[in-house]
Amino acid sequence: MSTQLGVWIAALCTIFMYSYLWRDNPLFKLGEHVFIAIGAAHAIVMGYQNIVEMAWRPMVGGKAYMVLPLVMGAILYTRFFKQVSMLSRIPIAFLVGLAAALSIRGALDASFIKQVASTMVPIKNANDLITMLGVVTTISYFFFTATARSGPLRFSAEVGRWVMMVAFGAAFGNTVMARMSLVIGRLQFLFGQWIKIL
Amino acid sequence: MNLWEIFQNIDRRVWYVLLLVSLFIPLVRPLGLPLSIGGEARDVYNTIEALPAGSVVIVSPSYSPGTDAEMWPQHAAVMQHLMRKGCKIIQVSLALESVMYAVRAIEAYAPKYNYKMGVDHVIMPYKAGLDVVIASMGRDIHALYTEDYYGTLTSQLPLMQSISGIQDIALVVDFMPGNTLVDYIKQIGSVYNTPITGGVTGVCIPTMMPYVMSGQCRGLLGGMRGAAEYELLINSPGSAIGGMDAQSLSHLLIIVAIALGNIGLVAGRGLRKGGGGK
Repeated sequence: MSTQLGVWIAALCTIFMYSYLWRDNPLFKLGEHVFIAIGAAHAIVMGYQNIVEMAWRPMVGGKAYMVLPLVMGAILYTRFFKQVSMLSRIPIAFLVGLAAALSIRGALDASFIKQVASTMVPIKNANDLITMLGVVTTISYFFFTATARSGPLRFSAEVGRWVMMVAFGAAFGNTVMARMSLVIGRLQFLFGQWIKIL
Repeated sequence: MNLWEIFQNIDRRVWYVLLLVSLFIPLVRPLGLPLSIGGEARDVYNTIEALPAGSVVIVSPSYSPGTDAEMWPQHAAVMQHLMRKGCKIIQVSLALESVMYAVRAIEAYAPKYNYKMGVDHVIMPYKAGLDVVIASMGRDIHALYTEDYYGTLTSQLPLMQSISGIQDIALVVDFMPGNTLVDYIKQIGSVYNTPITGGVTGVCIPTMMPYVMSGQCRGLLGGMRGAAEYELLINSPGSAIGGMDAQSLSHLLIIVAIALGNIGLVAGRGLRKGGGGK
């Protein structure tokens, strides 16, 4: 068994959390509340540190314009005061505009043009054919006009639905694999670092 | 209650116990099931293998303890490979807790490969902002990071002095449980043509595959499986290979559970139609 206090706390918290699988109990609640409390405290400390390091220190160090993000950040809190709450929309609008501009900058090329270009390739093997058919039939599923619900488009849309279901199945399989990996990681910790039988 | 109904109504706690057993046994007594290496992991390996010694690589551990089991083995394996190749490593952190993984990787492998801080590697502090940080990294990495994680001015670090900007970066390797690898492709790969690769959690594999197939992401390590494949490729067995037998057995159990539930459903329906269920 480990002699480190930190390992013991981590191991007991892990067991507390997994005890929920049997039924809800006070130990699970204790672990849950401790986790939320630590998470909140950690976020506050890191948030404070961000403000100090990214804005306050540069500002007092001579970069006077760093007062702008500080003021904008402070204005965000006006939403808690009814009479001036509309002011909080200014920094939110700035954030939305910035995020949209940044996303469009690379997304158009990376997530659209290059993706379309990589789909429009000469069909050389079965994979290319499956990709092409999958894309075409899936897109046809999203034609919502009346004509799309009859004739060949209906058949294509049905195939597209099946293609999507296969994709969802594969995605869910990956999710199961990911969750199992997390459990394995915890077991490796419990039996490796705590009980030390691995 | 007939047999088919029993199949559909097995208490979930029975499955939890069976799952625990199926995970525990292979961890204690590995079964040695064969593990093949996928094309995506091999592409990551070949990309790093092709780098000349001395190439500067950005490694971005963007994960936190919640996905430690999947991401750390990938991160550890790639760091070993980069150090073996003699690459210079700049570790940047896009998640709150990820700096500790950058430090952990250095503490684990830097002594073995004689990597010196500031010369062969540097750890940058956490910066909030995700794709804003990535875009800033591309525009001016020196302005973004004026100090390293330990408070040393980056202008005094030989490694940082050796690069003028993102154009001197040979490769970006990101380990993400979220969306940062896509952000790197959008903000760095697409804009500056810097090669991008990385590893993701199992959940994120479907998100990333279109980028891998289009060549925008040079290979991909997917979950613990991807890490195990990489450990095999660099011939350095670690925790991921150790967990593969448990993963296989647990998947087998889930397949059995799905099969039993569905057999019970279909057979029970047949019985009801034929009146046998009354």
